[in-house]
Order: sequence, then C-alpha cells, then structure tokens
Amino acid sequence: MNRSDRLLVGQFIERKSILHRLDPRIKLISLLMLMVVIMMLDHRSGYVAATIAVVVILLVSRIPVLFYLRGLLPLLPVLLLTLLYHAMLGKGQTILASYGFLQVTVEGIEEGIRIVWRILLMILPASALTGTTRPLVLAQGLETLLKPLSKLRVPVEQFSLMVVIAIRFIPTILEEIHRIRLARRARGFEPSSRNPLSRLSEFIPILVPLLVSTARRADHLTLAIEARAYGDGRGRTVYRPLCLTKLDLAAGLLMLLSLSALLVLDDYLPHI
Amino acid sequence: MVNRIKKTVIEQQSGWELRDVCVKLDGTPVLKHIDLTLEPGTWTALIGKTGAGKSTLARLFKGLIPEFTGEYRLEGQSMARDRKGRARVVPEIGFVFQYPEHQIFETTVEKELSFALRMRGDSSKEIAASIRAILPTFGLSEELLQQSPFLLSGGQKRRLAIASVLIANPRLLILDEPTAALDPVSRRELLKLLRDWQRNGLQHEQRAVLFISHRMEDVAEYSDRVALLHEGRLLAHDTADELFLHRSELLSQAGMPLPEAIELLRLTGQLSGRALNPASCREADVLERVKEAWNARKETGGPSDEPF
Repeated sequence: MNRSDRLLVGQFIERKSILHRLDPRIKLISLLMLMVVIMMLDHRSGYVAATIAVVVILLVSRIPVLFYLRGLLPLLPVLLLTLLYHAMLGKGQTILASYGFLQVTVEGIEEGIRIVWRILLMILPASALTGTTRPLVLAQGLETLLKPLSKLRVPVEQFSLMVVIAIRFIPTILEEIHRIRLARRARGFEPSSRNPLSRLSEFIPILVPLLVSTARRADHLTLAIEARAYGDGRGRTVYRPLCLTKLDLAAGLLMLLSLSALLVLDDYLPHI
Repeated sequence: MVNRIKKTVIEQQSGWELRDVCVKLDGTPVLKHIDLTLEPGTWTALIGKTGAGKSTLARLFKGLIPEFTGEYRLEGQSMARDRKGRARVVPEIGFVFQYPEHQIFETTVEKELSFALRMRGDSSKEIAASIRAILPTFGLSEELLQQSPFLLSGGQKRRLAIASVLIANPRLLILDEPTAALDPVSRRELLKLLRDWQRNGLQHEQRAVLFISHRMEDVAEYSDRVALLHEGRLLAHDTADELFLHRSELLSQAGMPLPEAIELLRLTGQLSGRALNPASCREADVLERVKEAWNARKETGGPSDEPF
C-alpha cells in the first residue's frame, strides 16, 4: 500500500495543530481570500509579506516541510516551463541575449519569477488545507458552503455525494491498478527500465480493464444507493454536524485582518 | 550404478526448495523460518487461518516478494535477483490470483489467452496452436476469440483467466483460492479440470500444483501433500492422509476444521467403539468405512432407530 499512498494527491496528515482543529469552512474561505489577495498584489514588497504569511501558515500546520516540497515535485515541469516562457518570450527593453524571435530580457525573467512565485504562494496554502483536513470533512465543508446554491436548483447534495465517492474510491482504484499490473507481471510482462516514457506507456494497456471495472463498480454503487432509498439526497442529516467554535471565529477574523493588512502594505510599503 | 547416481542428481535438482526463509512486510514478520520443498508431480495444499501467511508464501514462490532472508532454489538453480539483490518474478511458474476474473486485462479473448506466450516470444503459429489446444478443455468456443473478455459470463471469465495462465504450460502452478465464491457444481468442475491438467502432463513434465484453500473437503479430496501454516510458521508438511487421519491435533492447534466426512467418521467411530481406518482421507473412502460400520451394526441386530 506504500506505493499508492505516495501517489495520493492532497493527502491528509494526522497531527495536533490549530489548523487541524479549525472548521473546514473557515479554512476554505480563508484559502479563497488568500488566493484573491495574492492575485491582487502588485509590488515585490507585497510578495515578501505574503511569503511570510504563507510560511507562518505552513509552520502552524506542524506538517513536515518535506511533505510540502514533495507535493511540489510533480508541478516542477509546469513551473519551469512557465519561467522559461516568460523569460524567452516576454517583452522588455533590457535585452540579455536574442536568437531569432526568442529574446531573453531582464523584465521577462522578472515577470517569470513573479508568476512562478505567485503560483507557489497559492499552491502551498492549498496543500496545507488538504494536509490538515480529512477529505470527507472537507467535502462536508464544501457542501455547507454551497448550500445556498440549492435555492437556485443546483443539486448541491448530489454534487457533494459525488465528491465524497470520488475521494473514497481513490484507494480502491489504486488497488485495482496494482492488481492488474501484478497480473501482467505474473504472466511474464517485464516492467521496462527506468525510462520514464516507457514506464508511462506501461499504464496505457491498464486503462481498458480499469475503466471496465470502474464502470461496473459505479453501476453496483448506484444500485446500492438506490436500494437504500437515497432519492435525490435532499434533507439528509450528518453524523457529526459542523459547528463554529470561538477558535474558528478568532482564526477567521485574524485571517481577515492580516489579509487586509497585506493589501495595505502592498500599496504603502516602500517599493523595493 | 551410473543410473542410480543420475537419478539422485535429478532428484536433488528438482523441486522448489525454501531453506530457512523469513519474510517481513512493513516490519512485521509474516513468515518465520520456513523449510518447505514442493516436489515435481505433486499437488500440495497450503492451508492455515486468514493471516497465517499463505498468500505471502505463494507469492514468494512466484518471486513477487522482493526481499526475504534464507535461500530459495528453483529446480536446482538459485533464484534470479536484480542488481539491487531483490527477487525477480519467475516466469516458469503460473500464478492464479484470488478472483481470477479480476485479472483479465486484454481487449479480446484471443489477446488475453496469448499474452503469456507473446511475452515469452512464441511464434504466431505456436500461439495459434496453443490456443486451439486449450479452448475445448475450458469449455470456450472459437467464436469467442475476437470478443471482449469483459462481455463473457462470470464462469467463462474465470475459466478464461485460468486458461490464460495454464496455456504457458507452467512447471509449477500456484492457485490462490481459485474456487472462492463459486457454486458447488462449478467448484467441483473447476477443481477436477485443474487436477486433470496436473495429472495429464507428459511424463517428463511432472506438473506441480500449490493450492491455497479454506475448504478442507477440497484439500482432502485433491491433495497429495498438505502444508499447514500457523502464525507464519510451517506447522506440518505431510501427506493429506497422515495429517487428516492421524495427526488432526495439529489442525486443531492451527485452528483449522476437519473435512466434514472425517468428522462423521470420527463420530461414527466413537459411537460404535470401532477403529475405522479408511484407505485414504478422500470422501468416498471415508464414507465407505462409515457405511460399513452402519451395516455391521444392522447385522448384530440392534434396533435401527437407536444410535449404536
């Protein structure tokens, strides 16, 4: 099971921290606000301040830094590509080198760094959210936040059930992959060397049986849900209802204040 | 003289031999100091409670457990290992996992059947011949070949999955509860088919089977030898007759039941006060003795509605 654990995106890590105890709704809203504020930052000083805020959040979560870094690993190619794109195709006056239509400019590099930095500032708190919140609690929080939408006839309950099922079945599907790979190996298939491309191609023939079994499983699940008279899911109760504590309100207020401070600082700090 | 030496050499080289093998999975010892040899031409049952280490032991034989201590010799050869010293999958051993129908992965029945042969590098002529030879044994028709295996019925899928392993003609076949969740008739059919496959191998092939099962009736019926695992240790490795008829205390030590027919035999023996020694632990032989005890009682003229 070790291998599939590593594959899991947005993995929950059990720790005793304030972030773990907070209500998922507060965390979701705070994350959303933080992301919006980061999008609104204009100056480098603002970025520095935001970085400090993000680092504080990560430290408070008590989750090992290594976990966060490992979570960034799959994004590395995207980040690098973004950086290169801006560095080579960005517009600017200070030309460092040029080759045909490619132009490396100081402004381009700066812009690239700024965007990569911005992406990092948004991803890291997001993984702090998934790292400190159980997936099912997170889905529950999402459902309560989206509840007003059901007035507009948006099927919020069904959507939330969908999310919960998707989360619940990630380990099952990983196990399925493992089983099919094992069956192939047992019949003489030799997983190829370290070449990442050929290792990737090993997964393509697995997709067909995986899709078949997943579809079959979904079918069974539908029957099971209907057999228990789920209906459209409206009016369902939860075992552990979410309730806001003083800690939650305090944390939300603190977040609001620091984010406003961040916006003000971005405009009034001496621009570096 | 020369012949005898030759024979001993062959005997020494054959079989699948574990010497003092220990396996730890995630730090917990699962198998402890296992000494076990699977001999060619024998059907060995592997029994034990859930969690006793049966599946791990079976996977070890196939080379699916990368790290273990001790020695594993396959037909006289040391186990092949990769550069990091980890065990490699043994292609000559066939492995049927639990719920075989879940191990189907190809897009057509033909591709599914030929997978192992293609991996081995057989020519397309050889592959076609092998497929034609194996289809009737498993009750599959040629019209199915181009169909998707996922459209077959449950029983067909299971037979297809097992056929796709047997088609490579493994020297040792490992069956991890192949009959789980089958109805009694299909179970008997499948076991008989596998038993026939094992026996009908050519003389020099000496096909061996390692059979994991929870049903003691099947174990008593089909096995030559039985290996009994308890908490990661090998408690017994003996003939099925010896274990079921004379050393049943080992079974109860491992928390395993006796086959129902043998339970009945013991009860009949107790009530009649006779020693009932069947020719083997197979159901027919055991019930034969039970019947005899009843007949003997009738002859002595006891009232027929009272126990012995």
